[in-house]
Amino acid sequence: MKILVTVGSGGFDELIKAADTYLNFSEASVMCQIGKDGYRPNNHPFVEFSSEFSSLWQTADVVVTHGGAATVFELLEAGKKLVVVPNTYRLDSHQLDLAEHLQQQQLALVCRDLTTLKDCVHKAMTQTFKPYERQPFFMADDILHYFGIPTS
Amino acid sequence: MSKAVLLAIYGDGGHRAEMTALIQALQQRSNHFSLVTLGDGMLSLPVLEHVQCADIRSKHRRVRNLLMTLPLMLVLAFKVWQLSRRYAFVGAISTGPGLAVTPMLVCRLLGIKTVFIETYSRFHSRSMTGRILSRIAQRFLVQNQSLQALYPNAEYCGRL
Repeated sequence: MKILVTVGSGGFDELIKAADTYLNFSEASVMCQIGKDGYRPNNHPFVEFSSEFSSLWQTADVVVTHGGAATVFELLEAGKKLVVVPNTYRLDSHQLDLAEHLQQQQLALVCRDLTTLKDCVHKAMTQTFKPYERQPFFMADDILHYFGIPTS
Repeated sequence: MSKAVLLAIYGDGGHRAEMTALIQALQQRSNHFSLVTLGDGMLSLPVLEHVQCADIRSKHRRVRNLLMTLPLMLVLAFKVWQLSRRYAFVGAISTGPGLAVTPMLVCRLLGIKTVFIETYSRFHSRSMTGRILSRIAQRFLVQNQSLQALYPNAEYCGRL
């Protein structure tokens, strides 16, 4: 079993510290993707964020992620099991909005208390989530027409 | 015939990812436009010119926001005015966040068509940028249908 912990490009040291402290499994390995100049875990291997992010999650069975929408949607589309930890240390709290939606739609497990991170990962390992279905963007022609740009 | 020039305005992280997806969707349907970008980091796409700008609000520092937001907004407004002297924009399009407010206002005042797309991370609440630009942008698009209840003038566009 492989677990990836990711904080995206912005950093979320509190999540990496919690993973360092609480995520110790005999049956699973943990890899951390840290923010630029972020906290470096002592107990798990880690890499800094890069554009090669997709190569990191491909082999992961469970991904523990911050609540950034770009990361969450990329992982949901890949069918990954997610534990989403909204970053409430930011001044804005928009990650809670996405987390609430994910929980309501049963698309991911949401962890709001970092001290329960290990329990959340255990639950996610065995839980079945609904598949994510998105309606793709469909207004390209409309926007081009509005700006007076001809379509090819 | 010279290509139409579009001004794309965006921030970092998800906002840049959304803009990348948007431009790719537009380019799949037309190769009759070029791009000038005003944003936090370059897109991995060819552009005529990129003007680098960080977001006007820090995600972590409240005092910095109090001191810096207004001056940065004015700088961005001036940068857009400068760009408008060099390019005949057919439109300006933004995926947020707050750095888009004054550029979109300047474009509107200059008679440039404006389209704003609210970020896909919003389902049950409005962003500050969305609240402001829903009144400034001529077309206001949302990626989650639940937001149409919060923005009466919003058009649903699917997810980038």
